[in-house]
Amino acid sequence: MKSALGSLFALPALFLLLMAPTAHAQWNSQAFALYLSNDQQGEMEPCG
Amino acid sequence: MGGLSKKAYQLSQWRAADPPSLTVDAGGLLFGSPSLAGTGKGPAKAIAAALVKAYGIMGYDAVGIAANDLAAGLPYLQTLSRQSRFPWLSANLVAASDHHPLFQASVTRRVGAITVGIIGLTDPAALPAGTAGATILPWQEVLPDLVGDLSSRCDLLILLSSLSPQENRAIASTLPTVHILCQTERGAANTMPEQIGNTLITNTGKQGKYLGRLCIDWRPSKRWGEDRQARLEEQRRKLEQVEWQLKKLEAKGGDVTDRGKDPQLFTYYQSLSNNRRQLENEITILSHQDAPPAASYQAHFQPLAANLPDDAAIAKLVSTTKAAVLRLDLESSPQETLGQTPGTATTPP
Repeated sequence: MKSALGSLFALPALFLLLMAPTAHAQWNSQAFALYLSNDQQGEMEPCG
Repeated sequence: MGGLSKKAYQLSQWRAADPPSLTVDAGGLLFGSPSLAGTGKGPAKAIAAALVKAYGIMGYDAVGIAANDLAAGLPYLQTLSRQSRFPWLSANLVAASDHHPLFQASVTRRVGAITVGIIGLTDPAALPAGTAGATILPWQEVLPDLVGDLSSRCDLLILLSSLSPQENRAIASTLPTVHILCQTERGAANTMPEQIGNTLITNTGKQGKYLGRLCIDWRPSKRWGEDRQARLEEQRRKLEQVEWQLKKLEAKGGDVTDRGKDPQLFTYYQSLSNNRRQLENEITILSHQDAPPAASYQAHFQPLAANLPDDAAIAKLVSTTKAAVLRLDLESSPQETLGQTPGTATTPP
């Protein structure tokens, strides 16, 4: 009885896990990130 | 150099969470000004060599060449570029004799499902006075052909430019297949990208205190989102102007298609023809009622704050370099240390 109840709760949890969006799900297959810097020697100290 | 280890840490965090990425710098990073003072050359070169090493460790994909990179002379940058893990790009810094590029003009990178072309362009005033054997060509002489060639092989083009903002705007207006133009304006603050035609012009705050991030939702239409009808009318007007100019040149006779007879006229004619082809392609795409979805982006500037964690490898490199620079300062030796990173062997020029 206990294990049957456990299975009953496990099913929705498994469904939610499978359907959860991944970190990249919001991007289409052509998406990418571009990181840009604008440095100059001697001035590369962090802010604040 | 203190911000470098913060930057490396931030990059690693973003790369873990973002879609596939590219990391670029439009140039001007090696020195603090376009010329070096006599006794400060040794320490400045030691820092420059360490920067190149750090950029390699941080996995930069490409770096442009600007005046501040040439402060120690062209041969110095050529030597350093051979030790770099990333390409230094300039399409218009060429040999004076045959106009062959002295550095790589462009590079292509596969990023996820797309191929991205990256081109470098250097400010024509960047060469130190008295530099022999080299010249910097105007962008009009090199860029249209290069962009035309890369456009046929790439899904997206990025231009790393140290030209003036005015010239960068002119490039954006003339070459709509340059999709992103990263400029090195020294006085620039962080500003949201500006769209000129089909080009996004980006400014990242100077002095390495910020890191810019563009998350790009690129689309097969190769177009940034905007009012399609207004764009169509604008491009039709431009095409009419270009066709009028071409007819005027053709009316002059057969010389326009013969490089040998008048090279300058030939180059101008070719550039106009490329422009016409690009405009025609764009108008065809825009004319379709069911035009494909446009690309979009999100821009973000991350302050490299003092409380960000440090990347261990870069922090170690910075600390070793600072110690070496201190030694050089104490020695006050006028001798130069070409391309010397602490703890590494040097390569003769």
